Amino acid sequence: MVLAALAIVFFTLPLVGLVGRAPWSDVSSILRSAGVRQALKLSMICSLCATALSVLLGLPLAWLLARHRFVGHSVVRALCMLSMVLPPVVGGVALLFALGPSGLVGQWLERWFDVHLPFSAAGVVVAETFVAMPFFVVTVESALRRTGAGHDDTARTLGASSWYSFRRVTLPGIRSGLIAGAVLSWARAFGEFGATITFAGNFPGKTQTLPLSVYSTLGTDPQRAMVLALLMVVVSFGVLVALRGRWLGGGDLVL
Amino acid sequence: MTLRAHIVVARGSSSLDVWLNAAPGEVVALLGPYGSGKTTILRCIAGLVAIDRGSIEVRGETVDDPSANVFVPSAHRSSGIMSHEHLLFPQMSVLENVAFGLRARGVDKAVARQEARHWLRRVAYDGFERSRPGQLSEAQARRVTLARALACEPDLLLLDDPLGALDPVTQVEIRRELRRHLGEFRGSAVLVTHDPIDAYTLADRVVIVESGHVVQDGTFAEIATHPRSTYVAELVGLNMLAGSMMGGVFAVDGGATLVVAAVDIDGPAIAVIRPQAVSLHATKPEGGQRNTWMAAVIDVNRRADRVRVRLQGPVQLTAEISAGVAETLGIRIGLELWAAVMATEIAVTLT
Repeated sequence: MVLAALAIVFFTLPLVGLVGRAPWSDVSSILRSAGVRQALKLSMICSLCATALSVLLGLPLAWLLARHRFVGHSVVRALCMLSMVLPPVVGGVALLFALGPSGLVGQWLERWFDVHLPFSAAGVVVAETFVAMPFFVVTVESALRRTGAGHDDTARTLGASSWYSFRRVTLPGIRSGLIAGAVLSWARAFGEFGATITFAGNFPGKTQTLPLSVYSTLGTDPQRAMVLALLMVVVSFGVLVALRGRWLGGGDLVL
Repeated sequence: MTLRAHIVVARGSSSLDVWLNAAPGEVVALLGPYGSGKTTILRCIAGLVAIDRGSIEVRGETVDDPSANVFVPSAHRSSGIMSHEHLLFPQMSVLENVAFGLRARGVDKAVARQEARHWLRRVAYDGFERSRPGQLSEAQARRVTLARALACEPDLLLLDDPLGALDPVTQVEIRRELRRHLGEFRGSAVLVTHDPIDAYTLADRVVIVESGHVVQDGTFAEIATHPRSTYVAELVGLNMLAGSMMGGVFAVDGGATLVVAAVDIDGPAIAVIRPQAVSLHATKPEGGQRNTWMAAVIDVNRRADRVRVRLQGPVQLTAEISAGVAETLGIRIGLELWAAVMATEIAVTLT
């Protein structure tokens, strides 16, 4: 009991510190400044794109991992989950070596399609997707495992093609898992720092997302950093509370 | 034949090797202990598991034959499944569940719903169309599952322990309902069960499966008289008498009455008597025996030191006695003697 209380204090204290020290009188002027709005906009767009990518690629991956047994299953699983435990900076470096101008794939991307991922907004999306997708995959995979293949089998015996059964039976069955996974991966992408700064750099207006902006201004303009940090807390917390209350119906999901 | 199958599936240490046929309108019960491979047989027929060897033919069309590289996927086989884990789709209404098979086959939404309503009504249902499966009682859910399977009008109905995990009263209700629909069903049905009463009341023919192999195949009466193994003898070597309960007396179809211990039920029923509970005597037994009658021996079947004696008389049944007693009584075909069954040895189940 005491230890649990200690844990709660441990989580609340930094928030209280942030709220207590915030320059409340300057909040509105800082929030209205072009730099902040730019960073917020970039953060939102990139994190939402990363979430969309995570869903698009992560859903088939989760389905493959949950419903199919194949040689090297656990290796594939470990590879795809690696970025969850990897220090994000390492992820960024790895991305740079793979997709950078002289990277394994990057040089071809550049030569054939004239695509330059590093140090661009697209690079931010790639870096965020890299670290965020596993959260979606893990959540959806466990939701798929929990619902089991019984309903899919039933649908197939009733004449449903795999696609029809996936659309009408599988997806609705894991609805709350899908939402939870998307929110988790969005939250991870929204707060992503290490991989982004390594792979996409820290250029205001181009690749400087909110977390990068917090970091950059901490030394020069701590007031501004504090407001930005508060902004992130409010956005993240708001999304978590709203989603949990409204769409998950206070269900059995850990979010 | 609606179904002609030779199913061979290797599953690690245990393997499955079963021949199975079903004629149009026939209900075949697969009876056997848990883990004997019954459900896997159904899954093979449904196309959810591919067989390793053999072939499966439904209405003359080969749907699975590994040697000829034929495998028709589940969605294109005409089989409806009703399972004990009823597996209604929880996020759809009852009506959408029943209409699902038709919708999946591309039937227009309005038409599919009309058809689904028709089937819901046939399984004695009204006013539940909009409910979610989670709001249904277990009995209602089973009925809806049956309606969903029947709505596609399959050639084959596959019933996987359809009465499993139900309380006794609901079991009676659903069994009655199933019997009615199986009677009207034109295709073949394969019923997986471990309960001999289900097999007796619902099936035309019984196939006993033990650790992946068919140990016996025949009508219930044939198997009850000539069980080919101790397991079969214990499982189906039971006397089942159809009749009805009235005021504590069980009236066997055909005339005779039996005094039974269960008194608080009335209506059509089955009396189950273990052959070991039937005692045979040279003279009319005295004392506490509540049911006695004269009977003639029409068949004798000896297994190890036990002797099964088929009796003809007011009540047709099989007695199992020790070889010693059989010798003392001089059991032989044609012998007339007294049979006795205690009231407490008769178990009555409503049908």
